[in-house]
Amino acid sequence: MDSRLIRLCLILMVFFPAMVVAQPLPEEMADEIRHSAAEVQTLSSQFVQEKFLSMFAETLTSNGRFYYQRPDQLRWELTEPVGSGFVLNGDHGERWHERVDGSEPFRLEDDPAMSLIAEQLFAWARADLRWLQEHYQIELIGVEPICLRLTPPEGQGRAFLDHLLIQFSDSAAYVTEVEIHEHDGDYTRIRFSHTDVNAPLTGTLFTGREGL
Amino acid sequence: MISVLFNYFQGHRRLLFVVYGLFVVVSFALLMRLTPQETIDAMLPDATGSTVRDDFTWLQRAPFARKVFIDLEVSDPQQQAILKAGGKALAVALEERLQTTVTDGPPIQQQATLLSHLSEALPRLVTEEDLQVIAKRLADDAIMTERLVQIKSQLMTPQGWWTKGQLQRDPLQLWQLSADHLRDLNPFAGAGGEHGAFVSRDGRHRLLMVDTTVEIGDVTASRRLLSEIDTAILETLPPEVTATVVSGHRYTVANADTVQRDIRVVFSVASVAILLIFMVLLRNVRALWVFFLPASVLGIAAFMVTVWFPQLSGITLGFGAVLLGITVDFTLHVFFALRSGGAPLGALQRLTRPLVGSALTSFMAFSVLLYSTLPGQRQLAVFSMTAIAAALLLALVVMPHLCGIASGAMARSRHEAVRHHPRAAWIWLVVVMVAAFGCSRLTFDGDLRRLSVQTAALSHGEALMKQVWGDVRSRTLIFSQGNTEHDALAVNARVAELIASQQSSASLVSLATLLPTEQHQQQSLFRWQDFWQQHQPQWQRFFELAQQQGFSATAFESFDTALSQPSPLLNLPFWQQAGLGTVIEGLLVTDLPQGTAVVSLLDTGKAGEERALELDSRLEQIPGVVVVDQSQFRQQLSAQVGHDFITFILRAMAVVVVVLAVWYRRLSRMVLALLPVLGGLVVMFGVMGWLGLAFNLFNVIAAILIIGLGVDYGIFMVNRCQYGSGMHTDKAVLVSALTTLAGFGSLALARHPAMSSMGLTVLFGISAAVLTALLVVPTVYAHWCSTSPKGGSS
Repeated sequence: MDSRLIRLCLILMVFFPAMVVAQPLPEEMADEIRHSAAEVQTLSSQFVQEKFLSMFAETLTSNGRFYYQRPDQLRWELTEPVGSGFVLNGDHGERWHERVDGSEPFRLEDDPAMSLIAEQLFAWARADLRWLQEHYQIELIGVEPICLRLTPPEGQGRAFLDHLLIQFSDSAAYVTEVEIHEHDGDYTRIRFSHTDVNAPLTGTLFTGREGL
Repeated sequence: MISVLFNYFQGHRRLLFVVYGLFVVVSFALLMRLTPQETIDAMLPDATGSTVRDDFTWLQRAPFARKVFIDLEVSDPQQQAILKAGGKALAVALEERLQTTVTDGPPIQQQATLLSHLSEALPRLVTEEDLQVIAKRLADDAIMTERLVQIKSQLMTPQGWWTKGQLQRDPLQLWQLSADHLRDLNPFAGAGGEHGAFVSRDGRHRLLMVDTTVEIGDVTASRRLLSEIDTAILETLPPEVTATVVSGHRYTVANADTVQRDIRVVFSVASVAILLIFMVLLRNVRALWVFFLPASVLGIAAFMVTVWFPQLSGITLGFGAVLLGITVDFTLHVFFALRSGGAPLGALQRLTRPLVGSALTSFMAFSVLLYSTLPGQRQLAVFSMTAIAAALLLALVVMPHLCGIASGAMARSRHEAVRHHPRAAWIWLVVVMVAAFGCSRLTFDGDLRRLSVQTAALSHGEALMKQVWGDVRSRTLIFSQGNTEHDALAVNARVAELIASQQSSASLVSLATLLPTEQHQQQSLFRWQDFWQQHQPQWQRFFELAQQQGFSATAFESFDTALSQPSPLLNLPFWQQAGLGTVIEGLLVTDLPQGTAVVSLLDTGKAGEERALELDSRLEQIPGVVVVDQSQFRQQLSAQVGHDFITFILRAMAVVVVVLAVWYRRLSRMVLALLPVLGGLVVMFGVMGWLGLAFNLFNVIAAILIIGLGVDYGIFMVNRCQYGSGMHTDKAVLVSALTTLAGFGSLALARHPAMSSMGLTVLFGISAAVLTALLVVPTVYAHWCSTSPKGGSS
């Protein structure tokens, strides 16, 4: 191969990701995500959460479990180092903490913070591209696997969120990694693993703390 | 004059009937066009110097006047989770069904900015007690370490994204101290325990407050509202949870249901009774005119009220219709006189004098109501005076041509004798004397609430609310007025300051907690700054502990920054931005003709009545302050209406005496004519006194009926004794009394307190008055005045 051509290839390889960043999400790729995600009825996975916060000298790492059932049931639970979590069932939910007995019911309508969090989690869980396109400016920053950068418009979400990075599975059916970047440079990375797609889930998972 | 008219219309009956027909059409049309005002306003005194009317207007502006309270209860405190879930589910269901707001806790919107606003507000709210709490936290390493662990754990949850900034700005959760100040805004003394929800101290009760635009007096809408609530309760709550609904709307519906039931019962009984009277004593289809003729003046009389008053009161119209009973006497006497078999013109001429006399006394008696402090009673005076005048005219001019001529039994009995009943007169005297002793026991009750239906369910609801949540709806209301919101708040702050300075056990729900005066805010600010200067070492210790827990050196520097920055002034916009708009708006009255008022709720229950009164008078010395105490309001109303009532009775009696004195010019006849009134009133007052029945706003009207009818009976019976009969006077008096008893006495069977009290009053009074007229007057006349009979049988 001509050395010029080799150099060109090397340059392209180096700058390709940057060229992808600048691109909007191609329609065929969007279709692929929509099509794959539509097949997903349930998800269950484990996750590792890493918090890179300026408040701490070191990264805060925690582990947890995540369950989702279409259309609007979700369980998010930290198991280590502190047990806490919540379930969502439509507009209603319950949250708990290991230091407190029982759980506290809430309504998303009354709790703007939980409402925003639920919105995010459902969007990732469903890989709901239509919803994401309505609520974020989406840019493609990786193709294999698909990785998107989501920037929220001005509004309540923008108060704590600068942008999100979402990485999809090879099949584009579900999310494998999320990074939540805040305005002050702090960010949280959540890596999902051991994901089961469409495995049957017991209904009690989404009824409360003891549902698992 | 009457003879001329009688003779003229004898030959022109068609003309008379056409004119009367027109009169009926006009009267009916006027009645249909009038829209009476369905409020209690007309029954509130408007005398100069009386604050009752203003107080009532202020009471309508009470923060909880129109809310529906739902108490949810479980028998076992272990079922709190079920209670909580049931409460939430019911709140959702009610909001969906009623498209309204349902509050299950202090109305604080969970806005993102609330905590930061509470933190920001603390420097200007802080008290010495608050600073002691902070000092205690700073002095204990264990407390601070525990807090740091909490912060760390919280930051790991998804909620941590939301709360990180707040945790950095306020690591010691000082916002809670500001939030504690908000507790002073909680009107429910019985609430405690769970944050953000109305939960009773024992955890067995939760409270929901339903907002509604339905007026308390709107029966149809109230019924619909309560039905929706009942359905939501039935569909949503698990069997373990019991719901009790307390609201003014429930009283409205209960009253309406009772009145409907009462109308069915009373109407049936009265119809049967009147039918029997008709069949036994009248026995003629033309007798229907006896009832129709007086009724046809209703529209004209109501119209005359609107000429003198801007609004016709529904209560006036209702009572006016009742008082038309008096005018039935006129037509009854004409009917009996003209059907007695004699020459019609002669009978009419003999009847005219007592008829005019009785109408005149009633007319004059009602005229004293023109001086009443109650606008409704003044309206009633105009109504009754018009009705009496019109009914008299119809009785003398129209009735003779409608009632036909006599035949049969009536005509044959024209020469009946006056019967004397000496034994009955003695018995009457004993009864009156016994009753007279009971009069001293008679009380007057101006409490409007006691005229409302009180079912077991309503009583239970009220008692439960009071026991679990405190006596929210009976608290003293303090309105601080100002031309602007700022002015009103300044007055309100002075009120709170005065109450605090009294150091009484009175508790106050006031916006002053959130909005102290600028001077107080400045004092708190100095206190706050001084504290942190003195506690720098302890604060540094917190930093050291934070670093031991893995926090960076800059983790909480925004708290340091906040300490050195100026604290924002606490004003309305500040708290509205914080999400406390609902709390503030609930205690603001912005629809005043001029300016705004801030409402505070004062519980003086523990302060003792004297101290409470002293406090009230001190508060009222602050310009712009109006104090409305519900029990004092009831006392004042009771006192004023009671005074009005006594004045009326005395004036009416005086007027009647004067009219009778002029009319008869002889003491004996005057006293005799008054005897049925005296007998009726004394027996009525006495029996009520002995039975412990109080006089109220409604049966005052019944007293008027007793005076009006009693005088009529007296005049007719004196006339009968004086000039002889031949006109079935006894029968006319008896029928008049029986129809009154059938119509109004049957109200005694009603369950509604107002209707029943009126029925009982009429029953006692009319029975006594008619017995006095029929049994006592002829007997006394025979012994006292028989020296100069002017004819007729004796």
